[in-house]
Amino acid sequence: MRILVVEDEIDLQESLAQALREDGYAVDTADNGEDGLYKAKVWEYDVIVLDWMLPKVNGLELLRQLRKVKKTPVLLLTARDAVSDRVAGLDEGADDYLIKPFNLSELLARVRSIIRRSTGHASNRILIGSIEIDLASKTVRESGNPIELTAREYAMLELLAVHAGRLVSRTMIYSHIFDEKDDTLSNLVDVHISHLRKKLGKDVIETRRGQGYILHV
Amino acid sequence: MFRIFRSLRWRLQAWHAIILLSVIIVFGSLLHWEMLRAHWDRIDDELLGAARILEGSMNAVPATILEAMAKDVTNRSGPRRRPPNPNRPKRELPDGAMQPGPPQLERPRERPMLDWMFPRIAGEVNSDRSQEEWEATIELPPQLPGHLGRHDGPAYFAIWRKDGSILTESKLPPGTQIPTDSLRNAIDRDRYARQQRGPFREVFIRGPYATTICVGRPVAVEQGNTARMTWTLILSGLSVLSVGLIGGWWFTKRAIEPIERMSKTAQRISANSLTERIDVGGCDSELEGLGASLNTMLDRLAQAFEQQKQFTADASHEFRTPLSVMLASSELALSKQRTADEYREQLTKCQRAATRMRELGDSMLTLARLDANPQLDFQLLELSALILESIELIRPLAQERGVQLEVKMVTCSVEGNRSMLRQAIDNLLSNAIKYSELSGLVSVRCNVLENSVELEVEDNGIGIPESALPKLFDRFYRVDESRSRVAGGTGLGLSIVKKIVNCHHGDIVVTSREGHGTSMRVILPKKQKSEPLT
Repeated sequence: MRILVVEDEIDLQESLAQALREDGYAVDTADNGEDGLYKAKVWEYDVIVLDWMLPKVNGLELLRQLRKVKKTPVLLLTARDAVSDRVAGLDEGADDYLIKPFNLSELLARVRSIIRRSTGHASNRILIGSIEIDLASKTVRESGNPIELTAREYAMLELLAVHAGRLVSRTMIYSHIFDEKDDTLSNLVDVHISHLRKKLGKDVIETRRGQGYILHV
Repeated sequence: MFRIFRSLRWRLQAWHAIILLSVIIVFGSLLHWEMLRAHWDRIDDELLGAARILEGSMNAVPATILEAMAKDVTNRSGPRRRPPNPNRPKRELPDGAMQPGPPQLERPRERPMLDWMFPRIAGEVNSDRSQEEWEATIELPPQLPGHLGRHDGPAYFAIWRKDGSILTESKLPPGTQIPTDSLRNAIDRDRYARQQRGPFREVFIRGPYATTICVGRPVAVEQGNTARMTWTLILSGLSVLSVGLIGGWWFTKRAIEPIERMSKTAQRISANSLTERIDVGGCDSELEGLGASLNTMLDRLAQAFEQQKQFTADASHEFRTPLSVMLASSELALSKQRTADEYREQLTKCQRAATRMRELGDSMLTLARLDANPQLDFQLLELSALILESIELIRPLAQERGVQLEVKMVTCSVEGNRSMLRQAIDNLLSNAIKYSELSGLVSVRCNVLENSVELEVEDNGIGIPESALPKLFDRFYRVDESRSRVAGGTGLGLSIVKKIVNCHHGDIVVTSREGHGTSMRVILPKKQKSEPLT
C-alpha cells in the first residue's frame, strides 16, 4: 500500500512518514501543496494524508483540484477544529478528518480503515482459503500457524489479498509497494512472489505471463 | 412591596399626580374662595344698601317739613314746623322700594347747599334736637320690602339705641341680638360689620344718635347654591385629575415602553448572541440616540469578541502544530525498541517543538501585558547604544544566513522603556534577516528629527506584497506560511513591535516592494507624555 503525506511541518512530516513506513506502507512526502497535487495526480496512492494549511496550494484547494481527476482516499489533517471547518473539509471530498494534535495509533487506524473501505472490505481479517491475513497486526496464518513474512512480502500479499480473485498487474505492484525513493529492479517482484509461494504453497498465487498475478480465493 | 415605587413609571406617575393634585387644589380653592366672596359680597352689599337707606330715612327730614320748606322758600317766610304725625300713612314707592329720604338732602354731600338754602331748618334738623325729639320725627317702615329675600322669606331689620334697647324692629327671626363687642369694634373700624348667623345673613351699621342698625335676611337658598358650587368645583377637579392621571399613565407607558423593549433586547444579548441589535424604530429622539449608542457599543463589543475569538483560535492553532510534532515524535520513538540515534532524532524534534511553544507563549504573554496598557517605566536611553547591543546579539543569525549588516547611526537619546525598546529592535532586526535572501544586506539607520528620533531597518529581501500590508501587524498573520515555517517565528513579532511603539506614543511606517525588500521606519518622540496611555 502506498501513501502520500503532504505536510509542511518537516518534523511532523518525517515522523508521520517513518511511522507509516514502519507499519509497512510505501510512503511519499511533499512539503507544499503544489508538489503534493502533482504527486497525487501522477501516482496511484491508496491514501493521501493531507494537511490543510499548506504553502502555495492549501489542502482544501489541493483536494478540490484532485477530485476533478481522481478519487484517491484522502485523510485531512488540520489544527482547525471548528465544526464548520470539518464540514467544509469533508464536503470538499475528504474521506476522513483528523484534528491536530493526534495520536499516531489513531492516524494509523484511520489509514487502515480508509484502505479497507476503499477496497470494499468490512473487517481487518481477510480469509483466502486456509490463509488468514490480519491487516491490523500485519500477521499471516495458514491453518492457524503463524507464517513469518518480510515487510515487502507481506505488503505484496496484502495487495494481492485485497484484490483477491482479480488480476494485479506488475505496474500496480510497483506503484503500490514501492515508494518514489525505491530504486528497485523489475525482477524483485518475481523474487518476492517466489518467496511467498514457498511459504504459502505453490498454487496460491497464479502467474499470468505478461499480465500479472492473481490470488485465488 | 416597595419595589414597584422604585419603577420610573410609577414615580413619574406619582409626581404627575402630586403636581396635578396641588395645582387643582390651589386653583380650585382660589376660585372657590373668590366666588364665595363675590357671592356673599353681593348679598352683603344688598343688605348694606338697605341699611344705608334705613339710616338715610332716619336722618331724613320728613316730607311734610320739606314741603313746608319749599313753600317757605317760595314765600320768603319762615318755615312752619309741623309736628310729626305718627299716624301719617307710610309712603311706599310704586316698585315697593323702601321709602328713602330725598337723596339730594343726604347730609354730608348736600350740607352747604342746604345751609345756604335753609339755614334755620338745617340747624334744627342737625343738632338742636334731643334724641327723644329726633326719635319722634323718624318714620320707619314696619318691615323691609320683600324682594331682598327672594325665596327665603322677608328681610328684617332692627335698630338698637346706644343703651341696647330696641328702638324699632321688623318681625325678627328668633335669636336676633344686639351685636357683640367684637362686631361693634368691626363697625367702628370698617363703618359696617356682617355676620352669618345660622341661615341668616346680617349687616350692621351705625345710625344717628349712636344707634345700631341691623339688616338681615335668610340665606338658606344662597347657602345651598354655594354648597352646590363647592361640589361642582370638587367634582370637576376630580374629573380633571382622573383625566390627567389616565393621560399621564398612557404617556408614561408610551415613554417607558421603548426602554422596556430595549432592556428586554439587552437581556437577550449575551456573548453568544452579539448579533442582535436594539430596534430604535418609533422611539423618541433621546431614546433613539441611546439605542443607537448602545448598538454602536454592541458593534464594538462584537468586534472585540470576534477578534478575541479569532485570536484564541489562531493561538490554539499555533500551539497545535508543535504539539502534534511532539506527540507524533514521542509516540513514534516509543512504539518499539530503537537505537540511540533514533531516540536522539525524535527527542531533538520534541525539543524544537517545545522551544517553539515557549516562544509562542512568551510572545503571547508579552502581548497580553502590553494589551493591559501597563504603566511603563520610562527612562532616558541611548537609542544608538541599544541598537548596537541588539546587533551584537543578532550577528550570529546574520552570519548563519549569510546576511550582511550595515549600520549608519548618529548618537541619539530617547525617553522609553529599555527592555521593551530592545525587544522591538530585536524583532525588527530578526525579521529583516529572516526575510533576506542569501548574502542579502540589512541596513540599520538612526536619525534625529526635530522632536523625535527615527529608526529605520531596511532589507533587500523578498519584500511584502501590497495586499498583505494592511494585515501585516495583525496577530498571527503571516504573509507566506511556508516561508515563516522555514524561518521560524510566531507570527506575533510585528504585532509586538507595533504595540511597543504605540505604548511609546510613536509610529511605525512600512514601505515594501515585493522582490526588492522592505523598510520599517519607527518614529519615537524624544520625550514621553506624563499622562498614562488610554
